[in-house]
Amino acid sequence: MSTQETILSATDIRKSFKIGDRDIEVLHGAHLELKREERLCLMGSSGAGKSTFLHVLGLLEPPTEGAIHVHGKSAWAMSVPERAALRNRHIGFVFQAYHLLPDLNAWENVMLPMRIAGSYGTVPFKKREAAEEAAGLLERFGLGNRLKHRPNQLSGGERQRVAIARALILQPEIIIADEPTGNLDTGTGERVLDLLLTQQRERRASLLLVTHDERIAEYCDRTLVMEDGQIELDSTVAIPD
Amino acid sequence: MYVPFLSWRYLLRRRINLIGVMGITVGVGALIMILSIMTGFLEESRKTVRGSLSDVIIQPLHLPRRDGVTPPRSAEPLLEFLNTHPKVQSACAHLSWGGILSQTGFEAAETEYRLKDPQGSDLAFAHFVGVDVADEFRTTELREALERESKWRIPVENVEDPFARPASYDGDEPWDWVVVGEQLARVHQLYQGSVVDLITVVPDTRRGEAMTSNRKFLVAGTFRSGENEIDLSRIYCDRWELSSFLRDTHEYTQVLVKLDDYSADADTIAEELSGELYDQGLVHRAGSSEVRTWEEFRQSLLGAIENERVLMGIMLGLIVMVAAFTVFAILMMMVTEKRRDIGILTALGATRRSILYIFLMIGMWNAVLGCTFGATLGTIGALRIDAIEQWLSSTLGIEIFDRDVYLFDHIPSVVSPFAVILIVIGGLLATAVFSLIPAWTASRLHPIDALRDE
Repeated sequence: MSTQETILSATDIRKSFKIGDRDIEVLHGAHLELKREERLCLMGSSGAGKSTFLHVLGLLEPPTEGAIHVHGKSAWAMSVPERAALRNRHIGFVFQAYHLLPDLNAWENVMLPMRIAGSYGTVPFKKREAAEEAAGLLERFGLGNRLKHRPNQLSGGERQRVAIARALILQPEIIIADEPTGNLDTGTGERVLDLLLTQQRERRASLLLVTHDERIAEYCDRTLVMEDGQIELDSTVAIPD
Repeated sequence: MYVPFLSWRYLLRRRINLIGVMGITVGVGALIMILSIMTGFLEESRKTVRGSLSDVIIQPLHLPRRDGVTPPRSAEPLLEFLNTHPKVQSACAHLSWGGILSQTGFEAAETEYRLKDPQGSDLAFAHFVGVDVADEFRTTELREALERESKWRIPVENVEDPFARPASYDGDEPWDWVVVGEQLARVHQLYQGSVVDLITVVPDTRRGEAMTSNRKFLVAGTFRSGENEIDLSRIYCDRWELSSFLRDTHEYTQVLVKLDDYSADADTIAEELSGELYDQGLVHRAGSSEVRTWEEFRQSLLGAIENERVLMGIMLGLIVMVAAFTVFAILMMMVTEKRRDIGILTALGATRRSILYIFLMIGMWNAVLGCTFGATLGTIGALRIDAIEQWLSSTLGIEIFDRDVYLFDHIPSVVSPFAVILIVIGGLLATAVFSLIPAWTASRLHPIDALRDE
């Protein structure tokens, strides 16, 4: 399904953490290329460095060595506001623990990336239009009657749907999902995954999905397996109809 | 856009911020109220102190000058010069002398014995001031002091001639009449027609000794200057009568001058007059303390009140600092509590600078609300302090402000808009400074650490 255009690439990524006076290297030269509209699954055992790699790819953490390119531009060569604006406009995050702001209701949580984008001037923030767009998206996700509920008043599945809506509201080209069904029961997890995959296809976005679940990997165009801070296996699997 | 939105939401959702807002409200409100009252006290005291004096006080030294001229012992040349001066409205001469008042009447021989008795409660220090009534009324506020209504007042029968024998008095004593301070009359239970013995010493220049002099006077009434010290010791009488009592050794000790426009000439008039009076041979030395403005004359009292005001300002300013510190503590707590939010916001595209602004703005909301409430309540409190005091006094059943102690019939309060603005700016600045540290801490949090912090 993907085109050949590389939208996100990571080259020879190394990442070390200083613990006491020792440097511990977690990523040992990891590579990745995410094509436009591609579904890429990143798997690996616990402690393999998946989350660290994801944070580096999501521009939340700088690599110790190596380069990240988004649309061919080196992300870590940009200024801090430019990188933050890039993260806001082009990358949507979905976390295992939802990570919604507890003081905002579902509607406000979904509108938040638009407010932030408004501060950069990349997407002018018009409250009425933003509110309508966020409400429309939540209604499509089956949360029309939960707009003014705060996260602690929503179920796990509802929270994750709100988080997906928040990740998609600015139509990002890259969606990074870290174990999006990890905290959900099987039935709810399937519905949430279905929503995520459908939306990704509809919006022609690229999806980088981190999971332990091999069944989920089956929905992806490609699976990378990470071992000991490196990509050990790059396989293409058939996409079920 | 999202910085004010989120900071306001955090402020509302964390009720603990109310403590910060209340702290600043109390600090700013108390500061405005107390400073307004202290300013009121200062202004009222200035009026009171000024009331028994005039704009300029001239006390010439009657010593021979190097040029052979000796300033005259009579006040007339000085008054003549001053009354034709273009900046002078009026002038009056005072003969000011110290002595003792006794109610029971003593012979001079007995005085020494009585003075040795430290328990002699019927003796009081008295400050005799001999005045020319018409000049005095034009130059000082003696008329107002004679007419001022109060609980202990003994009104003189004829204000125009206060030292005249009251028509209602049926005694036949030949003594002269004096007007005493209201507090003096109250303490010594004097009434109209009371006989008082005034005792003093005067220098005998021929023999180089001091001579005692005592004379009986009758009390014609009281005056109330509003200045406790004066109302407790001063006795007004006719200047020539006092001069006679002092065995004609002195005619005057000082001349009080009322200017046309004191506020315009206050800074230069003393020096200007001093030079002119020197040229006229009316003072001993130019530029000396023989010519002083009333503010210079009462510098110690006015300075003490001003010092009190400054000290109160500093002490209450500390309350604002404590309130700002409370905001600091609340924000530090919020930063710890909102670690995950900081990570989420960073993931959604917020910069460190906007994270800093969010927490700084929470502090500033505290300050803006606290300063607004504090300035409003403080100003209302200062303007309505009398009603508040009366309500509190009646509710608590105690007299909070004893009007007799201060001799004010109200609690003076002057709200200065400039001071209010300054206090508000101070409150905002102090909170901004105290909010910077937690805001900076929040902005330095690593987003990944914050997101991992489950």
